[in-house]
Amino acid sequence: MLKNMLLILALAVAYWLVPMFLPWWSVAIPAAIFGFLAKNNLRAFSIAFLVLALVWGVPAQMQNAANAGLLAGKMGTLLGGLGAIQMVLVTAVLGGLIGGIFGLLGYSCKQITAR
Amino acid sequence: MRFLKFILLALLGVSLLWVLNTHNPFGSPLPAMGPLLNPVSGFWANAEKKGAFPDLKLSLPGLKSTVTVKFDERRVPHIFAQNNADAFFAQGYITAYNRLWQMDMSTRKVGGRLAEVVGERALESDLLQRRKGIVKAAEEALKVWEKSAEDLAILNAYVAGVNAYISQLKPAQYPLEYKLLGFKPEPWTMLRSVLFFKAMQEDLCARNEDLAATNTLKILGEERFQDLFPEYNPKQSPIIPSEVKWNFAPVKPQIKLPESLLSGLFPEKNLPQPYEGIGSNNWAVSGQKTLNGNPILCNDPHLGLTLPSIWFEIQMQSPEFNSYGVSLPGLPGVIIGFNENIAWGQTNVGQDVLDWYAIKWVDNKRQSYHFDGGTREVETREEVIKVLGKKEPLKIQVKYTNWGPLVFEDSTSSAYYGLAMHWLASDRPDKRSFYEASTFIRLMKAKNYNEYAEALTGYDAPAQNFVFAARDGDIALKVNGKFPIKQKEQGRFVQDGSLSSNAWQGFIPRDQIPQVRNPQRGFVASANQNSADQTYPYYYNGGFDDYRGRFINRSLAAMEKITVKDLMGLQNNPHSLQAEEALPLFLKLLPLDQLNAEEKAVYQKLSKWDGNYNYQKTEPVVFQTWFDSTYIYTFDELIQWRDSVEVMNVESWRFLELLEKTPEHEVFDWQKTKKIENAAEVLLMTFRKACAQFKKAPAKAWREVNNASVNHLARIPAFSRSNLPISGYAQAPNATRNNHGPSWRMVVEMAKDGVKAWGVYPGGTSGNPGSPFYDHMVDQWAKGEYNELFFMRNAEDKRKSTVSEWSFGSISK
Repeated sequence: MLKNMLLILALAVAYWLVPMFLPWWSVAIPAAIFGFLAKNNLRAFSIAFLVLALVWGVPAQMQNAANAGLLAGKMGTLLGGLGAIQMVLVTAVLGGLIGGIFGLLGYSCKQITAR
Repeated sequence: MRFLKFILLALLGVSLLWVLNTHNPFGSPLPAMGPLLNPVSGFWANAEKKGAFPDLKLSLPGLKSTVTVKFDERRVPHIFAQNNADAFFAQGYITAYNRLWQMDMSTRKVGGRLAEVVGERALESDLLQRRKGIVKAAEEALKVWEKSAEDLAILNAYVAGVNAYISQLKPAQYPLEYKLLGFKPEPWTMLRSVLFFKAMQEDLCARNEDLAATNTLKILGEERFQDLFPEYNPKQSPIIPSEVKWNFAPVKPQIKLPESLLSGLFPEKNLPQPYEGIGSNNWAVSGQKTLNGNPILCNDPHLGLTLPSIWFEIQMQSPEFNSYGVSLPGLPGVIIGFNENIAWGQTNVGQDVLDWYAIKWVDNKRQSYHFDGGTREVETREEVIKVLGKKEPLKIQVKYTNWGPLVFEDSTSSAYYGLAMHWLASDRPDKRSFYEASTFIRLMKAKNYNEYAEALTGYDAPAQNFVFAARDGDIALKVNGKFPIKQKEQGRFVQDGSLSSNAWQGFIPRDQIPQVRNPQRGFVASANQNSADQTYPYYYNGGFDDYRGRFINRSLAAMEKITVKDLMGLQNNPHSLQAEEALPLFLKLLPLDQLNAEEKAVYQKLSKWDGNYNYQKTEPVVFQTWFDSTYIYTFDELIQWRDSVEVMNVESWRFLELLEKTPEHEVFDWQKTKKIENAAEVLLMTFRKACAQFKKAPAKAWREVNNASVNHLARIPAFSRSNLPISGYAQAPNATRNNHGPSWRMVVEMAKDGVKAWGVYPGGTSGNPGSPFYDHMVDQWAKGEYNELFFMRNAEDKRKSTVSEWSFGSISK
């Protein structure tokens, strides 16, 4: 249990730190590594998804709140009539999808190599 | 099976990342969503924290000494430097901090480098900029400017400051628009600053009607042409009052203009023209006319209104100057502003300094042309245009004749001709000790009239009416710039490019250009009208205002015991002299007995209207509809040509003069009917049409129709402001018209105990749409409110509080 918690924490930290040094899409790397270490498909996908959704969504919402929704509102209008909070959700879900898919990919890699 | 799953997931994952990392994926207008949405480097990083603007200490290479920058509550920077170079360095840094993308985009546009970042849709604009030879002209101007130690030092320091900002910028800190459009800032150069200046010249002194005038002359014939297009409005109230006499011997052209002017129909669409019928106001009233005896100077330059704004408010202090005003992002110095002793401002001079010459080719190779009985070869310059999404750049050869670049060349036409452009602003500047950049720095330093006059000698184009007021009581106005000596009607039409005698014959000596100092009437003023009355011995043509200038002169002449508030009222005045003069004429000619009850009601309503374009009122809409359609019915014989060739528009003052003096003039006849109509019949027809239109759909308020707007530079609606509640129209002092209008309103009182100033512009300090300071002055501007400007005496001036302090220290490279 503790090991799992630590792993999830490490994933969150990696999600945040890695793109500080590499391009934005480098979040795929920790997702895949986490997937490789996960026990099954469901865990690989859902945890990689949820954690990145949070790692993207929470700071987005914090920035949004500090900015009083000013920019997210404009960006939402620009992207076809979304509100500021919806922009936060889109950000979170998009991050989640990337995390989830690469989590699955990592697990699937383990399945091959485990042979 | 497991292997297949792995492959499929890998494909899915990689394609997802690829799509999210691609600009305009599958041809959609969407930006790359991954770089845009991720909270580390995406748009979230541009969402500025409300209220936070921390102090900062920076060490920057290139500074000579320490610089302190204080920001007031509107985030206006007040720069305190220990030498001039550091002041311009800091200006470059702070301007880039606020407006980098704007600086980049505006200079890319003028230099024909837009397609490089936005793709093929900008190619046409890029091609035209290159064919006009703008980059070549900028390179040549820079070569000359660099020879002036004064200009070079200023430009160098400014460029170093901009680059000090760019070089430490991380992708997460790029201005939002870079992220949306998917490109990166590149180092700033002196050429970029000169290109910015070219953009101002294009905006302000590239207006010309040569093609349209030539076509119109051909269509109408000489007599009708001269009848409809007289060059001088007898009602004009020129900038320089008639009390000024011309006590000099004018330079006479040595060569006689060839007898025959070209006349033909040119199918070319003229260059995109700067917005017509809009300009700027400035005036200065002497102490004899003000309540407290202090001279007051006012200026509101009218330009295209954009976000970020064309202006950036700034105060700059060095041991040699302490000046406050607005600057242009891309150029060093304060352009319109004041110091402790003087204030200055500008309006545009409408003189035509861009002429077209028809080139006659020797043969269909189009490489040599006839000239003075012999032939000449064109010179060519290769222009390389990078286009986003294309591997190979586009290369074109621009031909240069002795007149200038060959902008138009119709290769499909069997007629062997091309059109070459001679534009004053593309000429290599004359050698002198300082140029335009130094002009403004000298104004920042100037203490009195003589220093103001001296500063202006470094300035060529775009020619401006420089208004002036000083604490010692002087007021003055100089029409200032470089003006070609022209013979009557020279440069009004396309000219024969095979004759050197069609060239400009020198330039008007600076001391013979119209100017006035301390006139008896106690004020000087300009609003883009004619520079001088008809006794002025030099010929000039161009586009001149006919209403604002007269209204402002009339108003100022009638005002006594003037206060700052009175003049703010004049800047914001929505009264149109054109409407004031047109309405009684229209109503007088309208046959009342032929109106039905509903039409009579409209007549009654209009007859009570005061000519104020109040944004809440419907009368301006009804009147303007009636006015515009009457104009179209009157000049239908010309307007019908618009689709096929360029034609001129009869000026509205001449339209009203025809209505007033010759209502039976043949031009009033509407071509579509067999009957010959006169003015009264046309007015009845158009009035009935307008009434019918507003019966079906009641007239909207003026605000909805005028749609005063401040658009984002890339025309992104979410970053723009539109339908602003502001009263005014083109011919009113408050000349708001759609996305044009007063781009900065400034009032400066040269008080004995210290200068006092007020200002506002429709924008904000920051260029970042994610900042509360992006458009914080727009509503204030629309309401006609002003900010009291905090002119700090020194960095320790505590009369008002500042919100943040940045200090720049120097480090060795």
